[in-house]
Amino acid sequence: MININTRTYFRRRSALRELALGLAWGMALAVPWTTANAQHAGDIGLSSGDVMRGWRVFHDKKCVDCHAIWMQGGRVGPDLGRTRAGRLTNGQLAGIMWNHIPKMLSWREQVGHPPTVLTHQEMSDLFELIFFVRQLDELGDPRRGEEILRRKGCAECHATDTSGDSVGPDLAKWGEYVNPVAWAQMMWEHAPMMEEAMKRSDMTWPELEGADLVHLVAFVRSIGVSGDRTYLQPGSVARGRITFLEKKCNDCHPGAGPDLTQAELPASVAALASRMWNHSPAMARVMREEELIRQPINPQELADILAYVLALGTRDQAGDPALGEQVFARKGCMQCHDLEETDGSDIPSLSDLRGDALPVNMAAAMWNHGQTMLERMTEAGLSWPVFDDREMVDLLAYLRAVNADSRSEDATNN
Amino acid sequence: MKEWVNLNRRDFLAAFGATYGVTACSWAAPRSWFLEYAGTEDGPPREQHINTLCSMCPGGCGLRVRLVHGCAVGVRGNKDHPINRGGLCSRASAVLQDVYNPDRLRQPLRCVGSRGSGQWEEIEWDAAIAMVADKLALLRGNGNPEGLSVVLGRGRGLSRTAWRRFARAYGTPNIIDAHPDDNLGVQPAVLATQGVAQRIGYDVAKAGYVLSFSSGWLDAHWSTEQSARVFADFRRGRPGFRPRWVHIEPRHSVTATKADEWIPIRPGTEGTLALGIAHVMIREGLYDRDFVGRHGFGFEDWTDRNGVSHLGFRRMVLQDYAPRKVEAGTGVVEGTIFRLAREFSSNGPAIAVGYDGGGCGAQATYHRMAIHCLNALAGSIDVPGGITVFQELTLLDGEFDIDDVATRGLANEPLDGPAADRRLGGSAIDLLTRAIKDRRPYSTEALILAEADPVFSLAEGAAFGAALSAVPFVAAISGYHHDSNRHADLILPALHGLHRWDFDVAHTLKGHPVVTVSQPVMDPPKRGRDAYSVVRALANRLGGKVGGALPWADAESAVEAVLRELFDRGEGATFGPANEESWAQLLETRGWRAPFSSDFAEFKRDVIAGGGWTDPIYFHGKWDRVLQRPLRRFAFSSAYLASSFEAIPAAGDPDEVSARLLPQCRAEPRTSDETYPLELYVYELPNLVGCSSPNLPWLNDIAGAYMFEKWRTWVEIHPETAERFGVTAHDHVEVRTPRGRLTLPVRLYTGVMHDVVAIPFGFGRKSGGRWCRGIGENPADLVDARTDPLTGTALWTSTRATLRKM
Repeated sequence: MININTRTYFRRRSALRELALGLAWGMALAVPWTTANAQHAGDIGLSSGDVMRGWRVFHDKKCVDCHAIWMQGGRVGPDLGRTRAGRLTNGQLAGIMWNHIPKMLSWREQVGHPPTVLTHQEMSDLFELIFFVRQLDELGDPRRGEEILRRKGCAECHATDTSGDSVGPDLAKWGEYVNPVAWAQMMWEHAPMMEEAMKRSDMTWPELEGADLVHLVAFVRSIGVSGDRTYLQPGSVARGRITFLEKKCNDCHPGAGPDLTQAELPASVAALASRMWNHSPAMARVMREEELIRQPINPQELADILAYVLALGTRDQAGDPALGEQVFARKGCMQCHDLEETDGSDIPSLSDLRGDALPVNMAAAMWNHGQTMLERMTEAGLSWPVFDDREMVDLLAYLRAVNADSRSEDATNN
Repeated sequence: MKEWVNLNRRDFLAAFGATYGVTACSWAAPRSWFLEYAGTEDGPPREQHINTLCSMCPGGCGLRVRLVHGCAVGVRGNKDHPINRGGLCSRASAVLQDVYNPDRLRQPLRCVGSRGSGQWEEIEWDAAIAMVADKLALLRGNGNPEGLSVVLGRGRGLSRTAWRRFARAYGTPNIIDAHPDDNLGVQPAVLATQGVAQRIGYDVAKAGYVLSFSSGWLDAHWSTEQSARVFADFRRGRPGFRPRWVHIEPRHSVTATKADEWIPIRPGTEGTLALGIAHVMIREGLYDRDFVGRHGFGFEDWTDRNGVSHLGFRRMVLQDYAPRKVEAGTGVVEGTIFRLAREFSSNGPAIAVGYDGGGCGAQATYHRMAIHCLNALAGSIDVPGGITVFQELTLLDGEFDIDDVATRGLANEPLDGPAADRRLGGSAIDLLTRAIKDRRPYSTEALILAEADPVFSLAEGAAFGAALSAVPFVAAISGYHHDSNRHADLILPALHGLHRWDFDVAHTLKGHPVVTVSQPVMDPPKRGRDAYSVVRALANRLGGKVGGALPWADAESAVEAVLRELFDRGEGATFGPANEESWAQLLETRGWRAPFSSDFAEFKRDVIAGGGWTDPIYFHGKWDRVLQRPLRRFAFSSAYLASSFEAIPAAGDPDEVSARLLPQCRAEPRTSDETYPLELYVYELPNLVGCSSPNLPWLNDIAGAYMFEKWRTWVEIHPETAERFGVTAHDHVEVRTPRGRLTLPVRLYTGVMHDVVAIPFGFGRKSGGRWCRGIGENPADLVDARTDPLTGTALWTSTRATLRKM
């Protein structure tokens, strides 16, 4: 297991190599990232998709012709990496896709894209990709980083010119650490020592906002004397969950700290890492009071934990079947769909959904049958129903409840 | 019959093209030669598509070769290749004509008459290797390994690597590049100003304004397919935004045709104009003060460590390059200079591009420095839409032991000039001629031409040929007979790129390194040997530590070692669908990495199948990388020259020292020279530039399509100039310079500046295959070349000329 004593490598140059080696071992020994995600995510109620497969689906199915991801791709639809600030859950995403269907179909027709079919697994992979790219940070700006370094007072302790003439480590030697999580980990490990030093100098704890951390990393990278780059593997939700428990994070969350399943968390990895940094003194104080030991943590472990915590934010709150029933009626779903099995009708009965009335399935069904459905509705003079975030979650809860009831009845009758 | 009547234009052209292609193919590939490859396989056609490297020029593009029954029958661009993205230039389209060429050499040849007599006999490979090895062993045994010179030509990564390692182990410092400009581009100017040894690229696709100073961007770029693609992105990649491209050149070239504006200029005065533009930018305060203040050096007057004050760039430009004065030297009117300066500084990101092609016509280093200073004044160094510095990638560069003989040999001064390792250019083939002839500082006892033809390609090629005659032993590796190897004792046939394992390191113009793998898409000819095997066989025969220089058993193993090094870097992406590269880019720019290949076996498979590897990440603003020694600043006054180049005196008249550190581009006003009233401008033919094979009839046929010329050399003259000399269209004239004379057909062309005669370079070989020998003339025979003092390379742009109607 990787065991990096960060305090030591703040003092010794050779320890930087250890960190790099540690990261490499971490990447080599870790359960393959995407597979682990897919295998274990289901256990915790998260999507079972695979990000890299999702990336391929995104390109193979030509989503990229209309949608960009962080400015790479088409400009017709929204940039999936950057739009819709704030929390986004599975149900909300399914709702957005549903609402989007007529526009999407119209555009596909205009540009001459033939209809494509997405399997359940492919849609799961796309969901996973969308959640993943939303967690990525924007690219940092070295100039803004330099300004932040100065404004936050970091430069009072840290040199940036390889002179070595500073209280804290010279940042110019750390340019190879291009991932903000690696920095967050070093800062996390460094926090108690730094807090002491700052107290002695009567300085206040510097708080990071928004994308401050990525700008800082961009600046340090720009002054770095090394041409090497040390990467992290994208965090694994499954590993993160295990590490979260192993490192006893659950002693405080929920507990003395906030319940991470309920808290309003930042959307990106670096922003979440910054939140950890900002709360570090308070966390340290609580841990002292509770006599908890600050667990050492390596960069990859922190990346995994952050992935896990961010993934918690994609879970839907429990839907209300009663409200869902109202949605079902209000949106006119019942004008076409039965909730019981019917013979002879070519309109699918929603009883077929059974327990599969899940956001991903709903999105896949919509994608594959949206064209037919839209044509039928147009013929019948019906307008396309639009759902807000809550409505889709409640509707799905209702469909699951109805199907569960009908299954119970079937079992009783049999 | 009705169908023929209804044949539309497109169908007609398609049918014509197909017929022409088949006819040309059958003409270019005599049946007996083709059948050797086709084999005797029966059954239904077995079709394959294999990605490999294009070996036709130094651009580093990727090919996708179509094979039927193991025989290459078609070629397209590899659409996943970051450099050409599926595009294919005319040279690459002719690759099959090259591989099946009936004039390719297939067996080692030993000269049996006097050198240059053209009398050869075929010998076996072992005898040929033994012949070279015996000569080299004798030389080394006498303690004179430095007596060997190796001239590198169009060989690619593995061949060049093998020769460099061999030369080091053998003990000669004389490993000399025959095409330094292909491989260096504007590097000398970048070294003088930015202190970096890497080449630079231009992020043209994101630029708002480009000033192109005889850049050869669409004519003679080192990577024409890439430059054309980037130009298209520049033009059409941003709907609603119309960037501007202004091209400055004595002749209305293809680049000028595609530009928004063409400004004719006297040959060899591009740097002068650049300083005139700088003058206006400085005088009107239009330069990027922030960049100049934070990262510039020598902009203002400065004082050295001895307390001596030096002239700064600002004062020099304001004193000496007022637009009126520049107009007199360049022929570009004063008002245009003012306008260009204002447009350049207000439409950023703006780029100034100097000559970035290969072969002849290189700009003097001072001129390139002056042009590059415009990029600094515009604040375009290392910003998106500006200048990028290629990320260094060295492969198979590990250290190995050498013996005492080699150590002593390497301690000698290289023959291509004193202190070559500190000279800006690195390699100066032109200086080798004099060294061989004068036998100074020591004599050349053996010389190897590794796929190089300097007799044809150098301005002083004839002198080089004469010098070769003085070398006791000359061996050549070459695919064809050519002007240089006719002076050899022995010719070893080079294997074609489609027959061998190899690799090539190139860069995208955004600065990303690209490694393309070449693989034998077809079985090689029965008696063929690749260059690596030849060099290794030589090394092994010499034995000892020389034999250890090339530890890989064969070319395939060496390529595998390259792939292992790439895999171990833990960066980048294999070529694949464009999405895999963009995946790496998306993640790695943010510090994450999740490669599609999980282990080396998978990585190797993916690289070979996809065609190569690239690292699509470029971090802007890493100033320690892009601005290096000695000051880590952009040197308007070159501290690099002051500190390391001995041609610049470290002491002496301060004004003289100062002046030599600054770009020197004073152009004298045109004088009336009665003997030679015209100026000679030699340019490269777009379809032949950098081409590794001269014997391709398809290319000869389209060489001068824009002038309706082919299969010969012509001279372009402005109609008014022609009238003065009593010359009319289709006359033949004698073009005379102090160096020589050529008789050429005239093409009247309003796209060439008054009082300039423009002649294309590309034809005029005296030896070679049936489709190049004796075709046209070589304008190098006219060039009165002077040598750039900063690089030692010849400049082709200073020759005066006159005309006489024949």
